[in-house]
Amino acid sequence: MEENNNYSVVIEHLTKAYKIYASPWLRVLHAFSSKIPYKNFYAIKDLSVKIREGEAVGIVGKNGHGKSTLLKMITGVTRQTEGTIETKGRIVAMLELTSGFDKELTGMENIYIKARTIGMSKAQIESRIEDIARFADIGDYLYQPVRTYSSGMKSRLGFAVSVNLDPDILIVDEVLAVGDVSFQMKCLSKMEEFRKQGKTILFVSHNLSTVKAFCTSAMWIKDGVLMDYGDTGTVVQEYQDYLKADRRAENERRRQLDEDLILTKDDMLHPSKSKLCNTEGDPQTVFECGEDICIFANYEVKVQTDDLVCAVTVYDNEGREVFGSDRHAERLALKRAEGKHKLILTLRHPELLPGHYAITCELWNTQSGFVRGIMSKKPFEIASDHFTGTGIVNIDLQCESR
Amino acid sequence: MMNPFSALAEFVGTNIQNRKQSMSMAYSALKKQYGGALFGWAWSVVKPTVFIVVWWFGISIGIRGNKPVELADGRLVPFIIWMIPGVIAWFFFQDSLSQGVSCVRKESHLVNKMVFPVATIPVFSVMSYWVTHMVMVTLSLIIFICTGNGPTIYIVQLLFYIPMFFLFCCTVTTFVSTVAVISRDFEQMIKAILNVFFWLTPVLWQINKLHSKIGIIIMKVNPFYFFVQGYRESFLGGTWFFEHYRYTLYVIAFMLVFACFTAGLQKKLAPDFADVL
Repeated sequence: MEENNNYSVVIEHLTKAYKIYASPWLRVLHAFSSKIPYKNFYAIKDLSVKIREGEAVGIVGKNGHGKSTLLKMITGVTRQTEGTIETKGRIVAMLELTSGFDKELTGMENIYIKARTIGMSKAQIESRIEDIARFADIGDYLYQPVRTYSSGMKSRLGFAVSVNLDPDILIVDEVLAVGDVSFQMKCLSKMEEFRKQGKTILFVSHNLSTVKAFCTSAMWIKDGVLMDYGDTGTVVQEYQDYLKADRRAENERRRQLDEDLILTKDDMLHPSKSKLCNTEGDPQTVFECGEDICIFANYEVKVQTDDLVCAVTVYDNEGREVFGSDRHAERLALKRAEGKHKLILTLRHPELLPGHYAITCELWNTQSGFVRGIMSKKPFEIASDHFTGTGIVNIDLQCESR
Repeated sequence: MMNPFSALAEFVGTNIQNRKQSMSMAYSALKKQYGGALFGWAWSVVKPTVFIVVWWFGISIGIRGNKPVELADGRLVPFIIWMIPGVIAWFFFQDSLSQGVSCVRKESHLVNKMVFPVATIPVFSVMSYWVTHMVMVTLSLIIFICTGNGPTIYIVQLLFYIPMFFLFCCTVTTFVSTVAVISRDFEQMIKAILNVFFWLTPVLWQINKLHSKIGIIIMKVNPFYFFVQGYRESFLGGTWFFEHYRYTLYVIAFMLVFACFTAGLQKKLAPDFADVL
């Protein structure tokens, strides 16, 4: 026990299981009989950690992985299922933005309630009121009901109360995120001051750079398990690596899902064998100025759709859209009965000037926005042996002079 | 279930320890209730007064044709005078049940955001209703004096009935609010059956209208009737609480058993409060 003297928080084999009952009445019945069935949801699993006095501990981890539950247990709001927590000194917690304010009462009344619950006498509270008001800096709002406060004002008051109630252990759960930058700086410098006085701070934040800058150590909790506790840089780095890996896995999963989706598209409409060619059907990517450009393609309708339209878009060399066809054009409507069909799309006398272009062709179902690509940005070239002008489009000119 | 007496002792102990805090919480609760309204405090008295006037008009004038009530000792008193003591007891009981049932739920920020003695929440809620109740008792006394209906020496019985009634309401509110935290249905159920409870208790009608002995016994099993009757005996005079000592002892025993049960239940369920609210 003696070696624990320098520790302000000692947690051993801490486990928190939320009991989940099929019906709320079963929880009442459970008070009378232990035979009532329930499921355990483990928020914290066998967590042991020792936190030294004067330590500012950053707690990182994703949402719903047990950070807040841990803080609630250290504060004493919830009771652990197993294990022990030993704390030294007065704990003041800001477990939420409003830190337990009563919305209907004024800020001032809430200060008294909060101070009283941590065991301060009326005289002690009165001596602090001025500091609290100055720190919160919300003016006359202090005498208005808390429900009229903005979220920034709530966090100002909450923080002002918490730091001025003379805690030995200060618990701050994601409350700095709402304040403006100058207030955040004020809070951080106040916490820094605390830490130097040898007080302990437990600090949950999703802002990893704040954690890195401010905390002297960090712990990472994942799925209710303590992954690591120690040097801030190392732990935050580990956590960031995990986040990256996690994000990558997430992207992978999403891509997989997309691919699955395409397969299902394919089950409805299956395009195949497309080519860019001349009117004769000979594949070709270089066209004369004004020469008809054709797309030959096959498609198979596997599930009959309401409407099916061919859409074409021509891009210039820089990827700008030169022309996009009307998605509702009647004359571009296609056969949509089940079975195999042949599609011949002709761009008649395109007035494109010589240069490099690309063409995209799609099958559209205008009602559902369902799209199947036939040809995607296929490059082609308009060539000419004589100069017609600059730009993209040929404009037929006529000139008369009198 | 653990030893029920130790649970009760713990419950009472917590409440005695935090009595100062409870008093200021009750004060805050009162302020919260009437703070936003223009007439503030007046509403706490206006609401029951309106009911009394309406019932008096409907029952005394409408149904009874202004016939006075004959007391057990043969005295005749106007119906409204007979009605008032029972009705103010009812109002206190009604507040404790219908509002008290959701007291822990309403003060959930005390439960899951800070370390607060949860056992005191129902008690300070009842304390806040009790303040209104005392205002009503005082007003009733004034009415009795102004109309020349007393009070007699029997009024000192209030010193027995009021604290007893307060403890009774604390117990009931603790029980209902504890269960209501866990089950929303229960909250609705209490509100729904309150009216039934009101008409089945002889608040607006005299128990001697029941001509069967069994009927009277059934009425008396309900401990709330003890207080309705007690308030009447205090205001109208005629009977001391020790004259029907068997009934008094029954109610005390009932309260003790119920309080032990409630404290045990509360102790068992309270640790879960923060998890379910």
